[in-house]
Amino acid sequence: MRAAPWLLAPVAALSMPAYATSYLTIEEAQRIMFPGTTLTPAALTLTEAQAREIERRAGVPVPGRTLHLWRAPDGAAFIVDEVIGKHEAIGYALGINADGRVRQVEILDYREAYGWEVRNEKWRRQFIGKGAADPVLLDRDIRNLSGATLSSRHVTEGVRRLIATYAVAVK
Amino acid sequence: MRSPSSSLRRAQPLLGTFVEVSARGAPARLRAATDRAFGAIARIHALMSYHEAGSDVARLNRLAHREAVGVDAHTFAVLARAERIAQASEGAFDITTAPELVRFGFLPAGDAMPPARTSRGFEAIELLPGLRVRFARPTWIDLGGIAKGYAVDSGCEALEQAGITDYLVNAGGDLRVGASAEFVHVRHPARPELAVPLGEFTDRALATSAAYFAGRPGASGDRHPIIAPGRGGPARYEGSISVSAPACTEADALTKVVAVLGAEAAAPVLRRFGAEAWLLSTAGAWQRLAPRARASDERSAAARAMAAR
Repeated sequence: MRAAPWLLAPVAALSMPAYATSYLTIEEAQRIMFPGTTLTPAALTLTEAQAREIERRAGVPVPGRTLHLWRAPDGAAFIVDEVIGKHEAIGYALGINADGRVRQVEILDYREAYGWEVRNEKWRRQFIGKGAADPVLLDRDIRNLSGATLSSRHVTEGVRRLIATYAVAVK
Repeated sequence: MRSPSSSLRRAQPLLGTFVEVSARGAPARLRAATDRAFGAIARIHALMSYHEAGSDVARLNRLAHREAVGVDAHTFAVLARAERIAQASEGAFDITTAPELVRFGFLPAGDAMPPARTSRGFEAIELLPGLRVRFARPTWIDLGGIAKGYAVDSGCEALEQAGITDYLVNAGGDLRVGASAEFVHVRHPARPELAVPLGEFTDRALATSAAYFAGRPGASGDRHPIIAPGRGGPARYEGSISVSAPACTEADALTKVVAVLGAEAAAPVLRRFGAEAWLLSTAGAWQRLAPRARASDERSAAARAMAAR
């Protein structure tokens, strides 16, 4: 090895037009947040009035009317949701206690895109709730990325919306 | 039906970004161990947030110029490590640049904080016995340049205490690897959709600083530019700076030292902390700084020495 204090070298960059990671399946997230508890799926569609009230309380828009909700016997709830940013689509699960306080937040899927994909429903849907067991990772070679990850602001806003949703429509 | 897994990879929104914890080991231990890691990281966030009024940092900024303020052992430990890096870098690493960050709109001025118009350097901070801290003058500190790395270390320590040696904790790009090798890519500084392969790491931390999505206030959560002390403005390096070190606390802080001092002046500081760095320019060229001797290099050096005899 030469004694140069540093070396200059050109780099070979790997394109990641759709960097994606799946963490937990819905079932795994349920077991982690509510161990030993039986959760019951509950179909819930928000009325227009409820959606407006949630928007008023949370200060963020309610993008859909259908809630992916499971109930625990004690009144707690488990909700699966998705937020879309400029370059990211993130599926996450929120556990919320009967008193309306956050129990836990787990990211289910993290997807980055720098083309048309992020706003494309079909592209997003191929991930939701699939989880780590399914071979849907688009770029397996990029497992660990150093350098900034996108901000979690959209998830924080999503959690605020679901807390309001629980108070308005679930409790 | 899936068979019981011996690895678990989870992510939670913490520290203004996404914190990922991966662990391998006895299946029965993984869930509780990763819970403890996330819990440790959340505690560090609560203690060292500039924004949360009840954090140690917010209390220090309000009160420490008037009286000695007791802080958590973790906060004290971060301040002590920040002091060592500030001294070794002759002030290039500076946790007192919050006034400049406020002026440029990257941080809000906290309520009830005494006036502080410029950075004071670590000289204004007194670390006292009994985990107490006093400021010689009104000073605003922000641990944004080191606390994320410390949070990663705390997560790793929680995993080790739970009996896990094979792990990876990645807090928005600042990461630490345990006993098994992990390959790491670095995001291209000018084109965030590209990932550049950096290399494999074992028992080592890696942190990367760059402008990326920053550049305008509030656009990207906690991220803000690195202020060059004395110049009162942002450091000018446009590429990305990755530093590897034994712990993520130092890796995180030393990226700022490289950004402020530049490559050549930073190299001796890096060596002092057992660290090395990779600079990736916006044009996509590597510059290696303070490279560590690898075991293979040492072997080949020994072979050359033998051949020369």
